[in-house]
Amino acid sequence: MTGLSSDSCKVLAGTLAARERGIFAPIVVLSQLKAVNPRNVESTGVKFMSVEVRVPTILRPLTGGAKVVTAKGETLAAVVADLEGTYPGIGERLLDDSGLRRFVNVYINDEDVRFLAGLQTEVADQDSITILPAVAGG
Amino acid sequence: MGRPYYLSVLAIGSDLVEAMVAHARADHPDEACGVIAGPSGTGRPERFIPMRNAARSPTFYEFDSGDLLALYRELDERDEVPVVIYHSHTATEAHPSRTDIALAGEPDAHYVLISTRETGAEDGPFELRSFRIVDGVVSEEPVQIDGTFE
Repeated sequence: MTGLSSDSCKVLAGTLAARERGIFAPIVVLSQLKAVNPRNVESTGVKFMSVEVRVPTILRPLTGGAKVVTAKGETLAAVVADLEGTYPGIGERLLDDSGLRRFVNVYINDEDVRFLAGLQTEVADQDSITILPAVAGG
Repeated sequence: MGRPYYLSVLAIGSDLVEAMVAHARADHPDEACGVIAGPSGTGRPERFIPMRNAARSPTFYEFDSGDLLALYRELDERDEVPVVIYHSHTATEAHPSRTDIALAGEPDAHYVLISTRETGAEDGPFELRSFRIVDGVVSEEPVQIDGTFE
């Protein structure tokens, strides 16, 4: 049982308070990953969803070669934080200081999260998340 | 990881080369882009899949995000991989740009560049080169068409 750090308490409290008022929490950026990691708040008894995450070839060195992994979290941000806890280094490949990286595509089931609520998109139990690097260039 | 890519070669059929060149010419002066899929683990380019350039630009290309998901789902279902990822340059040489290098996300793919700067949409001699792009490092590789080196 790990206690909550004061930082993660503040972020979590702010997020929950904002949500109660129907306001989307601010975009979670790389520097806040640790604070929203569900591993840090499990003692609150909140139930976290389990989802399947499909990992692209370029990130598989970080997942021990696994193509599909499972993660927990009730928003995409929390899922990314959970992934970072299990596979350190994956967070910065997905996020930068403005949120989701421009040339990383993340889909929840069939939808690009950019057309949903981005990192704040809610994730349901058994959802399938797919990460694909953009195929792009100049 | 650790692939000896400096020993690699792109072995490809002339029909697939012609299909990529034809696509590049058809979309000139915008960049054309697409994939040639092959059975996983074989490294053989077999199935030509032209893609839409969502950027519709003479200086940039990007697969549409929905098309990208559909493509990878289909490849997975067929146990295929993108053996070749191709695109055209319409005013510059057939060499990866800085943006191409920064955004290359398939370390196992052959990145094929076609330049239409000389002939535009017309027939004529074409410029086509193949590269590996891994961790920001570009290595050109020979192209073997129908078993013969260019």
